[in-house]
Amino acid sequence: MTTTTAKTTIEFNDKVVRQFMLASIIWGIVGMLAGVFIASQLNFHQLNLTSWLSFGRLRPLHTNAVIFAFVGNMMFAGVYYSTQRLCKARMASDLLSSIHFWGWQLIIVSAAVTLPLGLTRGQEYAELIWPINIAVALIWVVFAVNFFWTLAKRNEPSLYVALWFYISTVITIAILYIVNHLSIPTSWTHSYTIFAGVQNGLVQWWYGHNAVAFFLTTPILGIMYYFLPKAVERPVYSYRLSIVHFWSLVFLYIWAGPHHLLNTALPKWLQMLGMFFSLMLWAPSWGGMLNGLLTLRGAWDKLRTDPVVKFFIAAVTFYGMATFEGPLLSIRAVNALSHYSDWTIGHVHSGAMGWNGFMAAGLFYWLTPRLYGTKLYSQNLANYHFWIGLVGILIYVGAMWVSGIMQGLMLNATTADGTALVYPNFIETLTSIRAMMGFRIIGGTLYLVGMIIMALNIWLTIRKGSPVNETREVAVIERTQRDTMGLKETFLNDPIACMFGGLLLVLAWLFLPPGADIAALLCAGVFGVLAVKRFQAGHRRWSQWYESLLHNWLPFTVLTFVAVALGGLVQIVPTVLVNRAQNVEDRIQQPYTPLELAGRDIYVTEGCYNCHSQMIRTMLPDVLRYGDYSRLGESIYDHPYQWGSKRTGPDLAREGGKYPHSWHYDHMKDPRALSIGSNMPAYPHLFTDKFDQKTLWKKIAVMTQLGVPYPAMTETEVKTKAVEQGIQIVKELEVQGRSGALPDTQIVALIAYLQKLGKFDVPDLEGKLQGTPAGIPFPLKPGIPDGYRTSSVTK
Amino acid sequence: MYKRIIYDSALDWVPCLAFGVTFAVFLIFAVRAIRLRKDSAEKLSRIPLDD
Repeated sequence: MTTTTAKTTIEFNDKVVRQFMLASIIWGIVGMLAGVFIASQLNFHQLNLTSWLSFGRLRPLHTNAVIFAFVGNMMFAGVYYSTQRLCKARMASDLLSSIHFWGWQLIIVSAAVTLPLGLTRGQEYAELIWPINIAVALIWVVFAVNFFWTLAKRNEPSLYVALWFYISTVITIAILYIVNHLSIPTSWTHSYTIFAGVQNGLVQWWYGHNAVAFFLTTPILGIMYYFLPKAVERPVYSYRLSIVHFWSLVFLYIWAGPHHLLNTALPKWLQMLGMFFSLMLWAPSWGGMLNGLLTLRGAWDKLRTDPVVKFFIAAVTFYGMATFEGPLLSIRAVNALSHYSDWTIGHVHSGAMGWNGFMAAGLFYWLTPRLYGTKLYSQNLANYHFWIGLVGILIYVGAMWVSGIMQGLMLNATTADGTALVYPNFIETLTSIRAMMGFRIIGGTLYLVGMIIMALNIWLTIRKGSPVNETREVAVIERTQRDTMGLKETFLNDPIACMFGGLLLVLAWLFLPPGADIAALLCAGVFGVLAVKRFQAGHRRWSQWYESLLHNWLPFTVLTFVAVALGGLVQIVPTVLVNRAQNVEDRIQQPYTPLELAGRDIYVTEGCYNCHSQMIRTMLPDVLRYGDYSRLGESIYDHPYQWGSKRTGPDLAREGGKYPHSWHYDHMKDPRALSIGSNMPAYPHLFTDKFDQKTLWKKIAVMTQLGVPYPAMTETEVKTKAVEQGIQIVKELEVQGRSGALPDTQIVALIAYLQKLGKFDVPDLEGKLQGTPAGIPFPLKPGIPDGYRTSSVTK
Repeated sequence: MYKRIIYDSALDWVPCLAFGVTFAVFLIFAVRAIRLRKDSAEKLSRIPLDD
């Protein structure tokens, strides 16, 4: 029982909630406007008005704006509002709340400026340059401190399940963001990720998928568990189900990232792991959805009359649909059809517009009257918003399903004997989905109109009322009544010791060399028996420890951390350690020359990865269309990797040598001159802008530091090599009838890069054997991985 | 060991291990949730409505 000492009146910090809410609406409209614009660019290439308004640069702006600006601000509004009520305490620090808000907006503005300028890291949803990455990490820490500080001074002993979801978000996003953004700067605006090739792919999608999980899902589920019961005025259908929902979801989600890399060069066991955990995600996701829907028990009539409930229930339904579709797309056979196609685009938009967008709308319509002490200006406008938005989503998602499945089937179609493609011309498949791409514009526009109606409705509501900070009388509880477990009690107990010990031994079994792994397995068996005996002797203590989780944020946070760290460790650590040249069997990528590296940076800057993949999957149609399937060693020096996730244009993994320089020269000038029906933008600025010679030497130095086997070169040598290769390409262009190109222009560097794609060496097996140390491969320290090779640069 | 991590398809044991681990986690928390006392569950579920 909780003993109370006194009652006090607290005033919640609702100002920060209002700020985040308004920011979410404004940025949401900006992000969706960018979405409609880039959707239009796919059909009308003329809309690529200038370099900074081209599809490749604006698409990251759209995705970052919707994820981090729209949903991010909405999530913070919901978290700040509900956390204060669930803790019966004002946010711990107004200053930290304020720094969090303004810092986050500054980050968004920085992103909005840098992305169109082509300043990017070249990884999806992780494009922002390194100074902004540091700002994000710092602001996240500010948020975390403020959040946990508030938990520590709460006046409610129990931690409601919504707070569990928020804790998992705070912890996991910090881990994911920091690991995936580890980079070495080459200038104030450029860096290379420390991961390459398959490592980079794995870490990127561990981050990317779990950004969806822990940024777009868990906090919104927390919001659902708080605001849906509030809206329907009855408790959640099953609190017990919410407990199972939380732990199953948090444990499972973190393993599912590799499903973004199915049928690629990723090791098969990781593909299997990603696929199976994705399939198992069905259960907790649907458990949560049903828990949300059944909360409406006995109050379904509200669905007819209350737009807030309408938005919430439609959002939860979209959550169910998206989390049904996600596991479906993670089945390798289905993924062979859907991957790189618009089906995936439809899937993410049903989640973003249906689940996130409608939860945001329900939240804002519920919050605004309370935050401004008045009634909503117009229920009718809210209803219009709902129906226009819903029709918009359905048109959008339906069009993308048809487009994705149609193009996927066409791209994979082979003749009856399986020796030739039915549709060998990529453009033919693109042309066939043009109508669907048009419907996407209509669907997106309708959704945007709904958002504008909401903005208008909320603006008119705000004008009617005035800002109100809720005050409430609460019973102040003694410190001894909450968070009774300190660090010692958290870590020094049987359940934690058995869990950590067991995990370590199982990991040792999985990843130690033969012999040692069997010993670890035997130890794990003995340890398991001992743990069972300890449990039999003191199961009440074990039960008490679990019960204490419901009232203590520290052990709860530790357990959440373990659950999410486990999946990451098992997947990423071994792959990061083994992806070295001496471990690759048949092919090793040739390092880029200085000019080719400069060209690669231009490829990244222009966002070519948004439409072109560089990964020929282990599938017959891919091999027939693009050439021999991509090997793991063929992108081993790619910082960042450019495998891509969408093919609006063809794969480029073996583009090198496929066409003469003149073809690329003409294609960049006017893609439709060579590919009739292409929707690729023209890149006239590449013909006048110079490639970056100033920091090229630094870039080579960083690449060397990361393990790419470049010979020692001075700054002058790097520049000289680049210009010499540029002169050579210009000469060849002249021979091919294209005069006037300058050797230091971006087009020349880009041609050099494109012509290098797919070039590899066959490893010297004898050298490999000499270079591979025997026995246990520790210590696991980074270094130049393949010193035995003679770099192609020196040849 | 390195080669095994890169090239082992492991189709025979990864799915079973994934299922086993997940089922264990699910079972532990399902049991804990079922054993949560009814009055505690009710009290916890009413926290958002406790205005």
